[in-house]
Amino acid sequence: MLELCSPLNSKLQAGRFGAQGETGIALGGRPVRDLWQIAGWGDFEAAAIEVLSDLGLCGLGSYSLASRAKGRTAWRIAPDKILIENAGNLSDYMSANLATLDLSHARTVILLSGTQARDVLSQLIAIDVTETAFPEGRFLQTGIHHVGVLIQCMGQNAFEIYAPVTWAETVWEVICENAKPFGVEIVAD
Amino acid sequence: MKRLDTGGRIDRSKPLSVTFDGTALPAYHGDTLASAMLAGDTMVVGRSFKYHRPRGVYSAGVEEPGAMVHLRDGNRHEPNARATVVEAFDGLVSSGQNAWPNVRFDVGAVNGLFSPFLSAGFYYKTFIGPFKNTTKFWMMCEAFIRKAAGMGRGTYLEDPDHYEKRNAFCDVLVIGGGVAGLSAALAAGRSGAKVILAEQDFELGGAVLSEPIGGEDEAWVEAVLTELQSMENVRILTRTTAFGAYDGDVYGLVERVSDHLKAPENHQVRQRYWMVHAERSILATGAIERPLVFGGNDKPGVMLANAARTYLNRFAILPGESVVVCTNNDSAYETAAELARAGATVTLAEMRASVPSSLTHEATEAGVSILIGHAVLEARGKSRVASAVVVPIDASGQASGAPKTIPADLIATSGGWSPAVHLWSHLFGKPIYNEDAACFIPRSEENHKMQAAGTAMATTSLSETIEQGFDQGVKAAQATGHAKECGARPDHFMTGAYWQRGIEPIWAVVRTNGKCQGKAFVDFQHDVKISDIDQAHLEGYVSVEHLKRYTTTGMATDQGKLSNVNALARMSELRGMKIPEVGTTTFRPPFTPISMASLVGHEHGKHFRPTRLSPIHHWHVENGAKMTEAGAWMRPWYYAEAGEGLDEAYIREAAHVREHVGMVDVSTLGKIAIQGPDAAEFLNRMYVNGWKTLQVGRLRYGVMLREDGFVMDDGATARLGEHDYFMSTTTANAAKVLAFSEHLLQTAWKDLKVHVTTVTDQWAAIAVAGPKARDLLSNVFKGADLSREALPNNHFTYAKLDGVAVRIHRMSYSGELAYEVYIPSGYARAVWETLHEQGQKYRIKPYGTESMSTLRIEKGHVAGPELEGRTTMKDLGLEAFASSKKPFVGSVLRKRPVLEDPERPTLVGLEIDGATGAKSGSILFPKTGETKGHGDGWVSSTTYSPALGKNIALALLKNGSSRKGETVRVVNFIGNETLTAKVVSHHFFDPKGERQNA
Amino acid sequence: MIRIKCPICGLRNETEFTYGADATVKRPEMGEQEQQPWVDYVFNRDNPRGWHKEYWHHVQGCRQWVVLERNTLTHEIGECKLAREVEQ
Repeated sequence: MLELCSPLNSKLQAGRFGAQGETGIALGGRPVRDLWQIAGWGDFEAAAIEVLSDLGLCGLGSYSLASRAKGRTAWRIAPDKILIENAGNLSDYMSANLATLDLSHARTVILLSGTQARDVLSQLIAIDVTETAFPEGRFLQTGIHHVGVLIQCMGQNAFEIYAPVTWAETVWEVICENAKPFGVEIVAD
Repeated sequence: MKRLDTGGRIDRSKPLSVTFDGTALPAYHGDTLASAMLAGDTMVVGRSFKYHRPRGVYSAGVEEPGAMVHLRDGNRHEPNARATVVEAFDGLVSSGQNAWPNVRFDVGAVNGLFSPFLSAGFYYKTFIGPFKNTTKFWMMCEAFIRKAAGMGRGTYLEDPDHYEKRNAFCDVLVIGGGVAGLSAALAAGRSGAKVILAEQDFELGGAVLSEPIGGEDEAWVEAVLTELQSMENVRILTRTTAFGAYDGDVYGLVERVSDHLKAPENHQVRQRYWMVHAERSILATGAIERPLVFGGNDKPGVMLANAARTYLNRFAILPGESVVVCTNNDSAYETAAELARAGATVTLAEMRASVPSSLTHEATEAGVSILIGHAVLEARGKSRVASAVVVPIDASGQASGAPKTIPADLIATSGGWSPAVHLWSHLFGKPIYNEDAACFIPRSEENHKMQAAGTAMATTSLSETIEQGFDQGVKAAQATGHAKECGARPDHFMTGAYWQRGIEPIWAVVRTNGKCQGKAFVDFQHDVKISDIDQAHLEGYVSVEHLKRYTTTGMATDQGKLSNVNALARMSELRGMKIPEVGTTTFRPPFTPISMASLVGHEHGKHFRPTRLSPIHHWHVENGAKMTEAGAWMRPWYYAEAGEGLDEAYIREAAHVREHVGMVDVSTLGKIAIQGPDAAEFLNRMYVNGWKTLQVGRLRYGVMLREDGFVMDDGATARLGEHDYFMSTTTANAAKVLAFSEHLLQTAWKDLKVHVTTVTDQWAAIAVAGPKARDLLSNVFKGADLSREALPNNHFTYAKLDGVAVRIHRMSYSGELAYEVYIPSGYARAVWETLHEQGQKYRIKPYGTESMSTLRIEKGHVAGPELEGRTTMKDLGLEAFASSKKPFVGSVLRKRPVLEDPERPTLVGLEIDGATGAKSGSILFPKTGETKGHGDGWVSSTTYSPALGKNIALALLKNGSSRKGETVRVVNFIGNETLTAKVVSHHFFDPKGERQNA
Repeated sequence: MIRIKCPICGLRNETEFTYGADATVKRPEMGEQEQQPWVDYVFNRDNPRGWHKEYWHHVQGCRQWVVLERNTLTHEIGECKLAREVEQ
């Protein structure tokens, strides 16, 4: 098999940046696994629920709350579009009612965590990201440095940022720059 | 001027090294630069804007018009810093500005002699007056005036510090950390609302900080602060100015995180720009004391009364030993009494005709001599005040008796107080005039998002300020859904004298002839004299907004802080109207100057905009590619071999492709998945050509128009499955085509069952071109039949490399036998490396955008320079693609008569004579005649063609198709160069396309 | 700062959106052959003082086109609906 190359290869080198002392931010990355989009039309919800239940996911989730089970996550990103990670291969579901699309190589995940993670996010996006407004399980579609991203809250101080691969380095660099006052640790693969 | 041994809020155990113009100032921790200057008896600290008059410290706050200095040096140098708000730090270096050789002796002061010529409207009159049409003379004068006028000098060095932006969300934003603000924050905080309290000073307390230390008010502040600091829902930001209030409940704040340090420490930022989203805000910005207008009121040694008090009580400085206090209201009495108690000889010129003894009692006890019904007519002294000319006055401020001269080194004045209503004004609030307090205050409106409290609303006692602040805090909490009990108000029952009481609106002190004695300033920052207001009136200016612009009063950093009411009062007096009838001007953000850097944050240099990288990017960089920007993308421009420059490299690369084989990274092409049962219908509407017959496994070139009938984009679309298409667009137009498609599908074409999704990131693409392309790919992708028969042009097939599935499109941009290999982007680098490695035996070489362009120009293919938004299909020779059997986007408007004009420039080729090529953008003219105007067309793309051995170009030329063989002139007006060229077909090379069909 | 309440994503700053077009004009049917309706659609615009409807694209979000009511006089923002749910 050919070598799979992360778009963040040049960035995912262990190291320490910015302020000395305690580390407020940890940055890392991981590839996405089998990311598929399903999209439909008038009766989209019915068609989508069929796919989701085959994958063991119950319910469509909402526009801010992902549906998660069995290591899979489904995000309702638009009225007629759902993104599913760890979906396996969904090409067989392609029909006149449902369009399936493999986007596994289109995104990569930037892992942002640490005691100051929410402060860094508040420097990057104009959305309330305090714990009450953006708790674990919720997701946001927004722009970091003018690049459209999806941010999934994984816990009190942990976030997964799904960024388009061709923009991933620029998003990473801006996150890192903003995190420097807190002390940044890069966690290699 | 002397530093007192006790008192003040300075830390005498922490002396700081602070200098002004090289002289050390006696500064302590807790000082400002201005207080250190006064402690060092530095009286002249600046020169005025227009007349270069000596100016000293006039205030103790953000309104400072005189003490503007250069701060720091080297790459942290900063002009126009107001010394009154610069916190002293160890190592602070400052110097005078707008003066040569220095502020004490300034050659520019000669401007004062020309003051009759530099009065209101100087610029307008000079342009349209006697010097009209004397450009040369004017230019000479302008150079002199520009040099003489103005403020500090900036630096060209790059700022070494970091700045950041942060978003914050709260229920209640309290602007101002004085008594009203603290009280409001307390109430809102207790209710559980999320509160942000912003204070521009480095200490909280507002006006209380100007009081003698250890008083009851201070104890109140401390108690409230302790409670606030214990609340998790309250964020207190000091050194933070709310500079603007905007639509959408957004407020701009700048926090000066490290300005009080020599340099930011441990990667901290210098300043932080807070964009605060607050449902409600409370304007607790207090009030700014007003100057009085009299002759020489700008001389060093004239100061606002409350500033004198602040220097005395907060900074433990006796700002004068012989002091004349002049006031039209009660607030200056405390200043007078405290100065006298500190050892100064104090005379108080009371402008009002009578005052109650309860007011004068305390001052008299302290030893102040009070002259009722008197005012300062003129401040005298060369570069600092030496005496005050005091006269008895009538109720209008006109001298009514003999003047007498009182020796004085400080004249402290109070003309009343102007509430800082600026942020209210930003929200389009029109302030109303409060007759009792003779000032403009925000109009109280229920349900307005911003409510004012405290002296910003002209409260008359501390108790009232506390009460109003608290009440507004409660209301804001309730309005944002926080009903929790706010508890009891932390009352304070000191009901003694308070500012603003008993004001008589006397603003200017004039002689019996109605004029001031000497230069009397209304706006100190712009050197606007009261006589300039008079002149504007004489010239017929009646609107305050016109007055402001004509005289420049209240413009720029003053924003009316000191000048507003005095100018309006004079205007209303001259017009025989009341101040509210004249109205007030609109204050605009920022409230105080803010650095551009704070607004920019990290978005400069490399991070000015995002950068987009191909999945193969790092290979290019590691292998010597010179990169170039293409929109947000970085692309390989050329791969220089030993000693090569751009020209040698691209010519070699292009020739190599035609002779052997080359590979180019085309991952930047826009790629859009078009899916759904109506996909073919959608394509039929988007493209000018037909799509209903395209079979699975095939691809087709298409052209798209804009709604107005001009060409938008071109590219190939492949049919992957029954309901599944893969569209490619040009690199430049990818986002535009996607957004336009989404718009149509979500508005006018809702009936179409189609989804469009970008897959630009999912797929990388490598074009392999050249006579050996098939051999190479067949060798690498074992099992794929790439033969001419199995895979003709405009077909695609699937192949595998080491388990990775790729798609190979047969199509050519270069005119050679060529393929585009589409690869899931994570494997793109590995595939590229494999092709490069296994291609060595075919002599493969990578090529960049420059040679790619050469190859397509040789073929006459249009690209960005031709698809520039002003060209039609007809112009570009693409009209044959348009279907007449169906409507498509732009199909009707492309037929507008003006776009069908046969005279329109059309695409042609040019063979350029001589060894130098043409420049893109050159204008085409016939062989003879004048070379003026727009000519007959222009050069769009240009290159040296190794295949033809000459310089060629694509151009758009009037009646182009009928001018083949003609010689035209190619004029580059910028380079002042004229070439000649022969008009030819734009299909320069292999017009029959035999090579690509090989 | 215009704050737009996207029906999908919630209240967001205008920086996540791009302005698209006047939402009060209706695109002619595809089969329309006359030039004038297309000229009106593409070029002719009212310049209203007060409430107006505009297409905005939530390009850094759900990528939905929305119809936004905006007051050109007071800068007030009114209702925001998905364009697909607005009758043309």
